[in-house]
Amino acid sequence: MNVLDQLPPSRPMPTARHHAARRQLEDVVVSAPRTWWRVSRGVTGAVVIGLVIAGGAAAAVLLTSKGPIPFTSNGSIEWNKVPNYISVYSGGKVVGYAPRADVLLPPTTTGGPLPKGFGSTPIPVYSNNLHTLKDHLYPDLGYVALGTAPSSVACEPITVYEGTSKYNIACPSVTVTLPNLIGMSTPTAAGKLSGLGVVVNVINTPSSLAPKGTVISMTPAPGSVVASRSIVTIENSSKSNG
Amino acid sequence: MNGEFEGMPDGELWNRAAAHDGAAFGELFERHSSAVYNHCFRRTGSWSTAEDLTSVVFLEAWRRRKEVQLYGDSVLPWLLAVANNATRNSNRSTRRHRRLLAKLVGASPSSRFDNDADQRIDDERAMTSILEKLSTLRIEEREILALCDWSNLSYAEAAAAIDVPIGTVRSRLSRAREHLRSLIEEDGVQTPAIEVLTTNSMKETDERP
Repeated sequence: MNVLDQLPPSRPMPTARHHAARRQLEDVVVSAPRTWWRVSRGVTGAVVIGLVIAGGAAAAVLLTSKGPIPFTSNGSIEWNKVPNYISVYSGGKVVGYAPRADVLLPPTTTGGPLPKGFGSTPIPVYSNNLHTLKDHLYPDLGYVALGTAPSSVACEPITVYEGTSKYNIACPSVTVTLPNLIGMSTPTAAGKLSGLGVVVNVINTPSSLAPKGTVISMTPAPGSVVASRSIVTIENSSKSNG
Repeated sequence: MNGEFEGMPDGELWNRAAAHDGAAFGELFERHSSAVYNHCFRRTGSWSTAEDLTSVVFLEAWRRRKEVQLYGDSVLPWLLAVANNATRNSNRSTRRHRRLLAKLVGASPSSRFDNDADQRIDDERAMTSILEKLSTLRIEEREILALCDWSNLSYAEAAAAIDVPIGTVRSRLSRAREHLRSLIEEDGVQTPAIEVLTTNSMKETDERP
């Protein structure tokens, strides 16, 4: 009998060990230093820098800075030291990210930098890849709301960095023609849309017709002309049944 | 487990993890911990060492999440490469993460195995004797056998995992199998055994060794 015939079968990790390893990993992951500026809810003594209006004014969420805010000696914020986006925490978890330009006004504004969130202007909150709007968490937040805001809301073009990519997101007055993304790999399609300055919403649909990880459909349809910062939904084939 | 991540490619999860999304990294753990665990077992012949090494692999992966280039859609080849290194330097890597591992062991002292303790002891015996058999092979050959024949990586994935050209993977693997065959022949055992071993473990997709 050859020992090589006796290769033992794969087995699952014992449940308790699996959970313990996962928990341990989460401890490490959560306590690791962050490169982004942390903004979380209700931290005592922290400076309030914004207000998110979630589902109407009644559900307002306070955003406070957990890290040091880079103030200059005359009390204004050192704009160039603020990261491009700011994490939004809720219940101890990151629920999304907001571009800094939407949380803080640019320093050129008369009267010094004040958070946009004060008052009734909603702050768009992206999901953690900064491409997908967290519509289920903050249904009333997003660039759509910003785009339909009164003309009193000044719109600044936003530069978003993600990895090595840099996207310029134009104001909603700019329109873009949507390319045909159907059949393309979903991450590539999402990247292209982000580059155009629209918000990408990815929904997963199991499909036997398209390879996993590719775009099955998009709304609005290819060729549509839409305002910058509006939402484009792409349907991702999440599983090949065939 | 988490609907948000269902169907999301590893690459996207990995990018999110690199951008400090712990939940995305957790999903990668759920997807691949079992494959890493079994790979580590087949490299060491001990389930409990494999448990520790699995934790080490993911801790290392998290530590190095920003410096990693993924091959294709799966993060698994790279995780198995980390597992190979962790196995080679078993003592050193567990020492690095000793504080965390100590907590892990403390977390579940009574339930080392679920219900299949007997089978697992048999597994360990069988695996140890296989590893003894293979001990005359060079470590690179043992690694390539474990990656391609036991963990079912394609040539290209294995090449990415150990960072050598595909041609090297092919030649190393065929040398390893040749070596193995001669070992078996020395034992006076029929050669088909190795064929059974390799074909059983092949997947239908992609180009498989």
